[in-house]
Amino acid sequence: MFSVAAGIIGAMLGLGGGIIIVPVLTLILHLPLRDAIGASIVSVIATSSGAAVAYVRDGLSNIRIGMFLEIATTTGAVMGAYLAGVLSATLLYVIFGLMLAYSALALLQNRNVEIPQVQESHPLAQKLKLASFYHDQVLGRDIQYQVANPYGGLGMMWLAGLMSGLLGIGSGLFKVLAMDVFMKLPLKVSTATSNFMIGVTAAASAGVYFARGDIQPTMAAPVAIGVLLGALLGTRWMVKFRNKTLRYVFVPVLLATAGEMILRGA
Amino acid sequence: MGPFKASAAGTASSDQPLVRSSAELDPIISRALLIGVTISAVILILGFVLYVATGSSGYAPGTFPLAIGDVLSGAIQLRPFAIIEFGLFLLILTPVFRVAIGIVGFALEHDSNLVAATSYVFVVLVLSFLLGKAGG
Repeated sequence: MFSVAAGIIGAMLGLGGGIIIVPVLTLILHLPLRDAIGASIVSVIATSSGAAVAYVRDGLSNIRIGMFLEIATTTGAVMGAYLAGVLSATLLYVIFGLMLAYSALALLQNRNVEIPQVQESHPLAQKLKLASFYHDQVLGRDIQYQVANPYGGLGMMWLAGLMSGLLGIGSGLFKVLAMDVFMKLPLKVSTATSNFMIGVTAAASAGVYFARGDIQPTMAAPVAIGVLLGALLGTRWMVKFRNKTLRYVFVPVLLATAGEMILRGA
Repeated sequence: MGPFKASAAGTASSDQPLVRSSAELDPIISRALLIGVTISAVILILGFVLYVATGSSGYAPGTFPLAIGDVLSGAIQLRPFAIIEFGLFLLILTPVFRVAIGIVGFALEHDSNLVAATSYVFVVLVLSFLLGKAGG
């Protein structure tokens, strides 16, 4: 049941669901953190692949933007894995927690923006033909959007990858923020594209967890099945929300995560 | 070279035709993901049902197969935990599979920039599996 809920929320917000799965498994079901993280990696991949089936088909995920930005996330993830032993995890939690809290403010500032108005795409975005359109079910029309600041997006994605490599936690939030705050994409496109991308970031580490035996069959199987179900439902619901409404759902999730990370570090 | 699609439902810039950046590749990638997810879900459910029905994992308590070879041979012998692990393995490979499809798709569209980007991602993914070192 928890995993169905995690799949729904993950698919709607472009997150892996680890934010929900890990606390539920550790705090409520009292499982060891290692097993919980193993299960959450499986849940990220299930959410991503399950939700992206619909988002990519309907043109909500921008696969060109996604695959372009994956350069940065995968690089960050590998570097993060190598740096994991060198840098202090507690300090990192505090830094990333503060960054999330700051982004929650940035998101709040844009709370009344339904569709960002970018007149012209950045030259690099034009060269890579990143601009696209999607059909907005709520507004009942096609929304053409342009793409700003691809370098800022790449930088933020590199941080997202670095964070997941270092801390072994999902970086969906950072991905959404990179596309929302830096690249000025419509929020639905940001969450759908983040959804598309997180599976690849998680796959980069899943092999390690799998080989280490951190992915327990008895837990991972029901979690994966539940999350897949939830992701199917989540994709149906997300398109019916306004970008503004989605923004309001985001802020408490961001703040809660920021608080959780700062506490873990402190 | 992107596919153009004119639409009556214009937006703020209604004088320009609407451009979808990847109209041809979208359904293919979506299909690839659907295939990966469906196959792994069916295998996962099979393994889990078998585990619950027989009450046995097919392995000593607290252990399960980890190496790919052990997972495969166990799955052929219909040991429940091996079947589940095989399903999880396919689930993990699904995103890698769609990156590979992306390389082929962009190559067919003669889009060298995106071929380069996607190939880089694929190489990093494969390396991370081989080195067993990448986080995510």
